[in-house]
Amino acid sequence: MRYINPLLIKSICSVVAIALFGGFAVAHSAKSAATPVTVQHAEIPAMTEQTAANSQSASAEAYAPEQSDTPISAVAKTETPRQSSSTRVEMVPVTTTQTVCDPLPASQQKAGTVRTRGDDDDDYEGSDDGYAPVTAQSNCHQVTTTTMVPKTAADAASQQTPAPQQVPAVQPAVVTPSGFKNGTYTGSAVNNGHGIVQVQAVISGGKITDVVFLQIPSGGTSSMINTRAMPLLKQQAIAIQSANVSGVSGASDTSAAFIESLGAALTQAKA
Amino acid sequence: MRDTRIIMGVPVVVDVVGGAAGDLERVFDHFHAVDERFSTYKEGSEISRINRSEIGPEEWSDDMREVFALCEQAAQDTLGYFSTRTPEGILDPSGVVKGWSIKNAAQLVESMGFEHFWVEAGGDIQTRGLSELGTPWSVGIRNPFGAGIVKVVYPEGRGIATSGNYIRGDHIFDPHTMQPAISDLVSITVLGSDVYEADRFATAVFAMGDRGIVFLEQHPDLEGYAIYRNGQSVMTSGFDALTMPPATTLCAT
Repeated sequence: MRYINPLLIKSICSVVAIALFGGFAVAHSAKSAATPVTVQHAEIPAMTEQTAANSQSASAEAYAPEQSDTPISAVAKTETPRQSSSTRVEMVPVTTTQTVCDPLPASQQKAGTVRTRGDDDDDYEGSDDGYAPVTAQSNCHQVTTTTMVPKTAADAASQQTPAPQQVPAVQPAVVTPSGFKNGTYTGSAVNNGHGIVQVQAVISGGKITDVVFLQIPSGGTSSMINTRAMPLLKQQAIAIQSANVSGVSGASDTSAAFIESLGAALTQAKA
Repeated sequence: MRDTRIIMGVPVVVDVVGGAAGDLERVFDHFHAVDERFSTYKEGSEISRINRSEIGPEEWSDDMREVFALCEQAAQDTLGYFSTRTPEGILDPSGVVKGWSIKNAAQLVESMGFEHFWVEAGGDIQTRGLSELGTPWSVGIRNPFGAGIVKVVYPEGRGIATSGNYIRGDHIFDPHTMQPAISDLVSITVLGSDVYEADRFATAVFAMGDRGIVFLEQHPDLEGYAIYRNGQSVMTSGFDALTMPPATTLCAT
């Protein structure tokens, strides 16, 4: 488990302020097909009530356009979560273990599996711009972290089945006494110095069932892939396959639309 | 039996194992009816009349109401990246209509008693069961840069849809800016629990640009495969498993 950037916490904070008074925790289950489920907890500091947009349509309007020329963010720095000061919440330690691998150094990356854009691009700084890094990994090791989370969230997490299958979005969980109001809530857009971070929390059945990144520091997928938030995305060069397939999926063929449209026009022109 | 017709501006492929010409005809008729109602290219279609303000919401057909409710849901589920209005202000629900109509067609084929089929409109595909050869249906993902396919997927009953701009150009726009979605993303293929799910997300994630594949990774029910201008692809963590031929049970039914 890893700590969450305090600015991310701030964004989540504004979200849940709408739905809940007092301290709380946000649980987000990472999807994984082959590795144990990683549960991320975010401790929320002191809360302020806000009347932020909580309607579905407003969340789209509150969405700021992505800044494509913003430098790529590095891995978010971690900070010890702070206790909520507005409401006493019973805290318990939670220990989780995660497998973390480092990408291969540039010298060992094969041609074709490394991003080709951005190496010489003056608009981007740092090495983790452009596209995702190589799929091959090295230095895989277990990282065990312990953090303090509200007891209710820990109870909810312990009820989840740590199976290697994908975790469904809705989990059975303890409903906190204060409860959440059902709906989807959009947090404020917070600039972490490298771009905008904004999250959206989904509450159903009175519980937080999902937390979605609405905005991440821009500059491409690699900024997410390089952070260990998205270690399982895989990159590879495309290659033509020779295979007998039943059919093909690809973008629609515009010539058919032209024929259709022209045909319809001519049919009307006949009258 | 298999046949292809151009309807709704795209090739519609219907392959029903054990089906006859009359069965296929019923499916094509379904797509024609959808086209008559939802085609923005047809002056007399219900959607065109709506766009000309000739009929108000109280006069909409049940299908139209249903589709617009689904559009509303799609906008919510895609953080506003799915849009029902074009930059010119025209109401266009086609981002949902395609997958919705294929899903309905698949249900029609099932109601006719068939368990093995392929129903497709313009590269959005719903399959069930096995092919005529008794093998799992396989879908090739088109190479956006030329001929050939770059991936073979075994959907196993999932729906599949691909969104891209390598043919039409900048027809996909970002509803938040009303400008063409600018990114190096050339093609993104989405697999969902059915073709309706895959289709409604496909256009939206394309408009998300580089973050589209991240959105798919975060979504528990979706898998994706994105191709970028430099020839690199990025796939979600569960996508690889879908490229492996499943074990065939010839005696399934």
